[in-house]
Amino acid sequence: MGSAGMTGGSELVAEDISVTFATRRRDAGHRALAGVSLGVRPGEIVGLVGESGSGKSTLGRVIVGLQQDYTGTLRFGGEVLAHRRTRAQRRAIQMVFQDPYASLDPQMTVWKMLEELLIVHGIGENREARRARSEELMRLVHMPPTLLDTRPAGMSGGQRQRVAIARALSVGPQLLVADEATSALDVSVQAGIINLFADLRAEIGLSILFISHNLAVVRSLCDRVAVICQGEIVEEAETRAVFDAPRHDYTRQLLAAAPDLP
Amino acid sequence: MTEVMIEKKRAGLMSRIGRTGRRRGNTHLLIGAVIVGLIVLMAICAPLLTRYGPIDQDFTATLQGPSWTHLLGTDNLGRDLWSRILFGARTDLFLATVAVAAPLVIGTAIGALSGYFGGWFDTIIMRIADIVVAFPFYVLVISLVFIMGNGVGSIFAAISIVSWVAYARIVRAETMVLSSTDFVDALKVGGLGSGRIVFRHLVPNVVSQAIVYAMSDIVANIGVIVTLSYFGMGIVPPTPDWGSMMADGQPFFAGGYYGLMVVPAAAVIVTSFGLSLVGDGLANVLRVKR
Repeated sequence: MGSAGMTGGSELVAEDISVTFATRRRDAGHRALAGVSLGVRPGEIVGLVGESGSGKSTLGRVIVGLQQDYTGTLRFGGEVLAHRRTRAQRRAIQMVFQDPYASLDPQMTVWKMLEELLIVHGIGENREARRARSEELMRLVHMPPTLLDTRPAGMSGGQRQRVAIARALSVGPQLLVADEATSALDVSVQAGIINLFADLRAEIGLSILFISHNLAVVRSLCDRVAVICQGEIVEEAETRAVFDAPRHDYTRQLLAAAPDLP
Repeated sequence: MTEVMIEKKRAGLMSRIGRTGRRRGNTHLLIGAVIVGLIVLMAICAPLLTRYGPIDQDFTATLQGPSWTHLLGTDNLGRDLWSRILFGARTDLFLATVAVAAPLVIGTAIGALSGYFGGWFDTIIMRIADIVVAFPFYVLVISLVFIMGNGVGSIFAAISIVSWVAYARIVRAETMVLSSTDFVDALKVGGLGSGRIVFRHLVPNVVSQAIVYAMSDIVANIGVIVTLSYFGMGIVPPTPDWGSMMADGQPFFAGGYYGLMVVPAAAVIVTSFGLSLVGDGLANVLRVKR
């Protein structure tokens, strides 16, 4: 990937992260995360699994900077991430969302979306450079660069999610948070996106925090898995260890509840 | 696999609804555009379409019926009705359109910001909106007319003060719906500033609803202008306008000179009908494809 970063090499460390959402009643509020610690090493794919409401998405939002109301410490490459991040810090951690139908602006062509981000972040000195980089991004997510000039309306879910990934990669992140990035897609399309994530790690050394409730997908993609339950990480180990010899009851329940794993 | 089938079925259904909807929208839009287009064209070309000025009086030819010299007849001062309708269209349509444009722009901006930021900003804006709407409109207009004197300025001010609220509410609601999806979060993560998110991404995606409403709002504005002028609080005579034409013709209605009231009323109705069709058609055509 061009000159603008994406070298990888920074480790994310989240320490003792807590998030409490205010509730209408005058009680203590709903505790979404209760002192969670998690690390993602350079080039590593970490799975974060749990039921809906377990706090896994909230942790993703804290890491990417969308949830600014939290206690605890986030470090990236040794640097503490303040609640308001610098532009460079924001670029370093990007996100891919669940619904590629909602997350892309239907009024804009892919090229316009990518160009806007490149301009805002001062990447590429002129139009030609930005266009070249956009074409490179499209190839990186295995999309024909000719689709740059089309709008997402005509695209399939899988294609849209690839565009969403290209957009996330455009600013040169080192860590990608994928929040249920494959769960809105058809099974056959899911496999393609999973392979793309694996390729991206291999090609540009991207680290990925892969948030999912789909255990089969997590098993095939991730190096390490953290299991989250009611705002706490109850188990964290190498993927094989978690699946072959789960130590926590909740993990066993999750595995038992999953439809037959391939 | 069932998900795939449901997805396909839904896609098929949506496209079918979309297709018929768009076709019906196009018919409405076409008919409406022809009507409105003709009226606008006639208003613009008014001097070419009549030999008489709208305020030229001819006391040798008062209260005449339709004839080849006076297409729609004349009023009690011998003014040509056809000419007054044409020039009245200029006054009324122009003012109604201008009085839509300003609230559309202002209301859209306020609504989008309010929906995007939420919190205390949103609360204040919406309370102001409530107050404005709760205030009786014609009382507001009459007070403004007393302060500013009657005429175009007062009407424009009165309509603008009130009607931005509708646009702000429409756009705010649409913005909030869009903000609750991944749409805005994806832009924030990309590091885009609030101004850019609101005006380059949110507004283009929600403004179509406001534009559709604007079409019916023009109709409402014509109603307001004509009503005010009819009651002598609007357009200042002798400037031709459909409302004051009706007021001028009223005393002669009982005497059998129906045209003096019916002709301007018909002009209002046909114009409103055309604009409503345009609005209806636009509503179908502008539906954002996702």
